[in-house]
Amino acid sequence: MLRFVLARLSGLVIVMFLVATIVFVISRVIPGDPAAVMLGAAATAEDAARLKAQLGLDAPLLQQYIRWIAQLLQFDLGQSIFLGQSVNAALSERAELTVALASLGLAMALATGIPVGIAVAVWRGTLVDRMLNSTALLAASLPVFWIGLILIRYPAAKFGWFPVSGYGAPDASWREKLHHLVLPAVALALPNSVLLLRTTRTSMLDVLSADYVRTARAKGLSPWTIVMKHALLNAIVPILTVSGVAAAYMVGSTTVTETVFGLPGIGNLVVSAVLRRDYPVIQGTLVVISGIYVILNFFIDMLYLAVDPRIRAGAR
Amino acid sequence: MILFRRFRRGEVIFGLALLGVLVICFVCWPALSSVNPYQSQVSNRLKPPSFIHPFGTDDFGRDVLVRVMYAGRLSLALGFMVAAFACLAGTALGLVAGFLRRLDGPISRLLDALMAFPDILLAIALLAAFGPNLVNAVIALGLVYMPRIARVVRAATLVQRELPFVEAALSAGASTGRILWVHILPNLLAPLFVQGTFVLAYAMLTEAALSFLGAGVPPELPTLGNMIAAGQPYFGRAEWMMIFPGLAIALTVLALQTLGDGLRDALDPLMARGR
Repeated sequence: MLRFVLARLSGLVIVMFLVATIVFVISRVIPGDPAAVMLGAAATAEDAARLKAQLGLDAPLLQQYIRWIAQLLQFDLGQSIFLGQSVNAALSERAELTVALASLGLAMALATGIPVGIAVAVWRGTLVDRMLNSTALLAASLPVFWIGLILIRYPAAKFGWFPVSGYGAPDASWREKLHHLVLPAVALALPNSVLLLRTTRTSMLDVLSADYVRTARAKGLSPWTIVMKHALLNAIVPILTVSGVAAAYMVGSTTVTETVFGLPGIGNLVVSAVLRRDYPVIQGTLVVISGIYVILNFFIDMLYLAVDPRIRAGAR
Repeated sequence: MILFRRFRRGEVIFGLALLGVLVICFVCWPALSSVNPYQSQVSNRLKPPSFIHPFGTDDFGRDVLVRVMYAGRLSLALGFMVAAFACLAGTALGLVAGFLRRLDGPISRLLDALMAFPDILLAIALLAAFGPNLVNAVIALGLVYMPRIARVVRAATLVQRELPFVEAALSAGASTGRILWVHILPNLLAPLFVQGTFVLAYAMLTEAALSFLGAGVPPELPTLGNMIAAGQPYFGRAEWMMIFPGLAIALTVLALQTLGDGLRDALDPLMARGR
C-alpha cells in the first residue's frame, strides 16, 4: 500500500513538471513583446531592451526555462507586469472569492445530483425517471455563460431577488457576500449536478441488479437500508471520481462565471491577463489551477483506498 | 442487419432525427431564404420577433433567424473539424501508447498533464499563443480534446493487443504498422465514433464560451458564440439577440449528446443491462 501511495506521488511530481513545461512553452509562443506592450508606443528601443533585461527575457530560452522551474520550486510565481504586485499576492487576494464560489457550486451540485440520481435509479423506467433524465440532459447542453446571463436577466434584474453583479463592498458582511454568490454558484453547479446525477444513476443501476441486493431484499431488509447501505456504498467509486472531476471543472469554469457576473476572482484575473498579455500572471494561474486539479485527483485516488476494500487489496 | 437492429434505440433515433433537422435547417435555410444575413438596415434596429423577422433583428437591423442558421452552420463545421483533428491525433497517440509498451509511460504522462488544464483555460492560452483565427481555433480546441480520444484508444488497444487474432497476425510475420492499421484500428472505430460525437458537442460549447470571453474566433465571424457575445450589451432591451443563438447551441449539443449516449449503450451491452 505504501508502494501504491509512493507510485502515485511520483506520478504527481512528473505530471506537475510536465504541466510547468507546457505552460512555459505556451507563454513563450504567445506573440507580442511584453516589454513593448508595457512601455507603450512612445518607448525607444533602448528602453525596451533595458526592461527586457530586467524581466530576464533577453536570456537564452534554456536559461529562462531553468529559471522558471527553479522559481516554481521556491513557490515564487514572479511579478505581474500590469498589477504592480507579485503573482502570489494577486492570486491570494482573489482566492477567497473563487474558493468560496467553487465550494458553494460544488455543494449545490453534490446536494442535488446524488440524491436525485439515487431516486431516478430506484424509480428506473418510470415517468419521473424519464422526465428528470431528459430535463437534466437539456440543462447540460446549455452554455454556462448563457445560463448566467438568463439568471442575471430574470431572478436578478427583473425580480430583484439577487444582486446583478459584483461581490459587494470590500467590507460587506459574509451574508451579503454569500447573497452575491448564489446565482453564480447555480450557473456553475448546473452542468456538474447533471453529470453527478447521470453517473449516480448508472452506477446505482449496475449495483441494484446485483445478486447481493436481491439477497438483501429477500432477507426482508427495508428498502432504505438496501439502497443507502448495500447499494450506495458499492456504487460510490464512480461517484467519487466524478465528484473530483466536478470539483476540478468548477475551478476551470469560474473563468466564464466570474466574467459573466463581474466577480473579481482568479478566473477574471486569467481572462484579463490573457487580453493584456500579462505573461507571469497567465503562467502562474495556469500552473496553480492545474496543480489544484492534479492534487485533487491524488486525494481522490487515496479516498478510493479508504472507501473500497477491493482497491485496497489490489494496491498491496 | 444485426448491427442495424442494435442501433434501433430511442436515444439514437431521437438524436439522429434532431441532428438531421438542425443540419438541414443550417444548410438549406440561408440558401432558400431571400433575407441577406449581412444586410444591415439601421431603421430596423433591435426589433422584437415579428412575422417578417421571427427571431427579431439585431443591433444592425439584421435578421436574427437567418444569422442563427448561418452561424449554426459555421459553429457545427468548426466543431466537426475539431472532432476530426482530435480523433486523428488522439488515435495516432493512443495506438502507439497502447501497442508499444516502451512509449506508454511518457505518452500517458503527457496526456495526464494536458488533461490537468481546465478545457477553457487551455483553449484560451493556446489560442492566445497561436493568434485568433478559425484554423488556429480548430487546432487549439483539437489539442484540448485530443487526450480524451487518446485515452479511450489506448485502453481499447490494450485490450485488443492481448486477443488471439493479434497473436496470429504476429506469428504470421505481420509488421507492427500492419497490425495496428489492418487488425486493431477497425475494431476501434465504434468507440472512436462515440467519443467523436461527444467532442463535437463539447467543442461547440467551448467555442461559444471562448467567443463570449473575447478570446475566441475573430468577432466578425458569425458563430453562435459570437452572436451571443454581440447580444450581451443589449440584453434587457433585445433578449432575442442572444436567446435564440443560445437555444441553437443547446439543441445541437442535446442532439449530439443523446446520439453519443445511445451509441455508447448500443455498442456496450454490459452498460445497457440496467435499462
